[in-house]
Amino acid sequence: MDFELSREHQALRRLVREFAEEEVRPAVKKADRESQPPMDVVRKAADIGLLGVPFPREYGGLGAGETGYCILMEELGRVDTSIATLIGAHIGIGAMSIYLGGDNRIRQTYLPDLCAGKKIAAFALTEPNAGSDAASIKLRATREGDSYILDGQKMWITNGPIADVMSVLAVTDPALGARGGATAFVVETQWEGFRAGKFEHKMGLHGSPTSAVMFDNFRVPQENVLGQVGLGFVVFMQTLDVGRVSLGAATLGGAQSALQAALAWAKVREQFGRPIAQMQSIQFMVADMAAEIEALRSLVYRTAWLVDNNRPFIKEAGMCKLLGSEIASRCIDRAVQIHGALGYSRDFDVERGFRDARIAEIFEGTNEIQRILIAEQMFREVGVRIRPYQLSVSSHQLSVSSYQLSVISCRSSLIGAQHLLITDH
Amino acid sequence: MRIVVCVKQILDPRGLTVNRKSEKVFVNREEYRLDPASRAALQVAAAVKAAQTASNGANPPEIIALSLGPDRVDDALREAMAFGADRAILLNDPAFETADAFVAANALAAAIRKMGEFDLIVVGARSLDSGSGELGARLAEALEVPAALNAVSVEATPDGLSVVREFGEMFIRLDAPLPLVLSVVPEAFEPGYANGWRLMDAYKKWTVDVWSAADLGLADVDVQSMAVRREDAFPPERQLGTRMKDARELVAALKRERVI
Amino acid sequence: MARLTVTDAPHDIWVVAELKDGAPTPLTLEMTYGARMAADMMGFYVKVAVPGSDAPDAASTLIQAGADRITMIDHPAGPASAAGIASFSAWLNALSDLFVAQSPEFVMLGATPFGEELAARLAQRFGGGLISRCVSLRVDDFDRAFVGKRPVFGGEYFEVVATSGPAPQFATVLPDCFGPPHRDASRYGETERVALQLETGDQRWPPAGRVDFRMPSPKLKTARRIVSVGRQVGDVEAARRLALALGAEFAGAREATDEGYVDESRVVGITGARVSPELYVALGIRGDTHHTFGIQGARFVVAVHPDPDAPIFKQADAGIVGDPAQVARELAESLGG
Repeated sequence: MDFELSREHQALRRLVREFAEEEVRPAVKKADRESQPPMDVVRKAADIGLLGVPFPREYGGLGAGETGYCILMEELGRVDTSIATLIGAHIGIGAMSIYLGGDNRIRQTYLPDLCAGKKIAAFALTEPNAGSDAASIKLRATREGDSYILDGQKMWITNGPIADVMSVLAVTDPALGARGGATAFVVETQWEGFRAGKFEHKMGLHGSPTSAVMFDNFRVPQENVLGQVGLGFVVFMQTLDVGRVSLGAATLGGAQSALQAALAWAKVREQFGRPIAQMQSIQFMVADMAAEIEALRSLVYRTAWLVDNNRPFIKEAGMCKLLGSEIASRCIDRAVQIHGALGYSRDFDVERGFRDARIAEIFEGTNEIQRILIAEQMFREVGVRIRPYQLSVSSHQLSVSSYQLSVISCRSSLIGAQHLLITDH
Repeated sequence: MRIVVCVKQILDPRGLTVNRKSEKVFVNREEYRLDPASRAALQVAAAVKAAQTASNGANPPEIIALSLGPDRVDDALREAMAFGADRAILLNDPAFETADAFVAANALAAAIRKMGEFDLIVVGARSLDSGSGELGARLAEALEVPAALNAVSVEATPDGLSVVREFGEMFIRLDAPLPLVLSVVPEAFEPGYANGWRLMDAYKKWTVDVWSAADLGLADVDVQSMAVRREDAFPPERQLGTRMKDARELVAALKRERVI
Repeated sequence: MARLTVTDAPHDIWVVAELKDGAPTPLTLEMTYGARMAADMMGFYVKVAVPGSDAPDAASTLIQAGADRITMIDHPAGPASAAGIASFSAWLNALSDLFVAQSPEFVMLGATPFGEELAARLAQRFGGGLISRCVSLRVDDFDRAFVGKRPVFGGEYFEVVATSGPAPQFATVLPDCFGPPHRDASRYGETERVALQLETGDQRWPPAGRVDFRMPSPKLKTARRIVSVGRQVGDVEAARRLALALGAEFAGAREATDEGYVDESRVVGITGARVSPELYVALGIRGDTHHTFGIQGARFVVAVHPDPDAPIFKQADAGIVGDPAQVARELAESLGG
């Protein structure tokens, strides 16, 4: 077993770390305070290739695979969760859904601009009444001639206010529901009938713009279907599956940053005549943080390896998200405690880290959903079929007989050109 | 047009702790990086290439990154390619293990001569580690060309380069024809980042040529270091909490510490 | 690469002088004194080469500082003038010819733009050793070598280097390497003159011209010198003027933003930047943990504060209890700013 990253991945990490320290860090406080995404930093990242890290070179990406993308997210997450979320939504679910679900023409149309940062992507699944219960989405896509008309809204869309390109899941056949009745589309927000709502005021992640998006008689050409009509859920679920790995990487970065802040503070803060690093209670907190971070690191990068090497990775991806979000929450909580009152002050980074971390247990599939996913996989191995609350929990549940789909392993190779059979039109 | 950029890989000082009391240097993190002055040199070379390409698109200049040292210097040369070098050459040989500036200059000059004609050699004015600042002048001497050292601004002209040199308190502008050795002051140039696409290509598609001392035809006397490090020395232990009476005493202390 | 060799068995120690306003620079006098000390130990003569001209008293000043013989290399434009810089190689060749003929064993030059370029080219030309930017230097009589101490990593620590190889052996020297020179009016010595061949050398450029140039402002993180203010600085303008005089970046502790002295991007401390300058001057800063956290990497910390119990003094290499603005003014004045 070789646990070393390849030389090009190590070099990529050095590049991203330097960029994160020199460009992202100075912009963080202002972005948080003013709730404005630092778009100039995003543009600079795009100029050096960071907005297309996982995608093959033929589409303008860096060709560094899921491993490279996890490195990007970890290093960005180490400095600022908002920018990691902004870029993560752009690459990891926005552009990724186009890559996984689009045919070559769609990919060539959109990916080069997204990799170059000329356009920003977003991923629109959630609705006011459809969160974990994703199958109950209501956004309607009605066939009309050679296009579809979208009516309805989506909510809590990261990059909603700034996206140029958006992947949207809509119901094309209400009778079938999620099982053959939902279709994924890639749309352009400049088309008539699209409107982004106001910026959501969130607890944290202020530098990551989030809003509702509304579709009012919004026309989408049929060429912009992602994957197969009626099988939109598969594309969307696959995208979320692979997105969880890099989300785990981002939370790894955040947890790491909490630990480092705690170490640095404990070194200089003196109470009772000595640095608090000398106190056992602090030492135990630090040890727990370090051990969890190390375990998370192994999990994330091994899962990235599974993705890049065409192995099954669904349950590991769920674990990355589940453990990553909870470890990050615990670490930042301890870091705040170690900082004492100053951990509660808006001027200190750990306070922002605390506010930013909480969402990770909720979005991208709540941790409850992750647990169901993982349990489902585990019980399947002993022959028990767990009936999920709804289909959307696992794309494995889809077995649409009229198509030769073997979605079971959800292979998605990001380095090679092949991926899911789903795009064989 | 051929531009050769001599780059240096240094031990990252951020991984070092100097303990004055025990008179030791602790390497907490052994990490190496491309010297910032070398980066500036690469950026200047890229700018000159861009200017030349704009005026004479048919024959774009070639930038060759050149360095001397052990195997790990390969990473620095890949990074140099990510900063715009079209080719990279590593001079790697046990004979260079303890190379001083003299040996380095001999080897680099021999490599440059081996490449054939050149128009411009660019180096950093002073590296972060040893900071002797000798290489530019030594290379110019070994290659028998003029040097414009400590450049803070470089512009391509039809006849060569227009260079602003830092000369003590003065800044002077020189019009220098090619061929030329140029050394650049890193603080004067906007720092940049490696290009991600080129960085991936550097590792996955391109190669670093490796030349040995034999390939360069160096005589024994050329690889003999003439300035040898005997030992490290340390500043006196910090006397934190020292009080001074007035500004005058302070100035004397500052001068003693070589801070001014 | 044909090497130059000296004609006779190498002997004596030489200094390459620099003139300013018709007189030898303080560094030149210091080197002459340092050479004198080495010469007395080794049984050498001290010989000084003086590029430049229009300096009628230079020779006698140098002799009084310890030189035995002066060689004046004449040209109306000195080597460090804008015009002289363009004809550097003429100076290089003149000195090179002089050394071939005179066979020095050791040559000292100032670590100045002129001296450093000269030293490196001459060392390469003769194939001998060079120790650059010495903070201390001696001649080892047993090894017959220059042994110099020089800064590494910007002065974090030093390395001790010894030269070897064919003569001459070279060293460039920083100010305060030898200490203040002595002047002995009773000393006598010889003076000779050689003319500079301006047409020699491959570097014949049009005359250089002086220009105004502004170096970009470094970020706080990489600034070599920082003047930082706190609530008790008093007259913040005095602090700004000190920063200018020192060529330092201007910054502040977090409290300085409350007073409007600095903007948030210039805060040093746990909520701002962690800095590692060679010199950090804290004016009117109390020095609580959040601030001192940011200056752990500073090499030399100066603190001025009216309260003798201010915690900053524990972190300072040099502390003054007093009015920060007043001390800033006095400091700026003694720096000539």
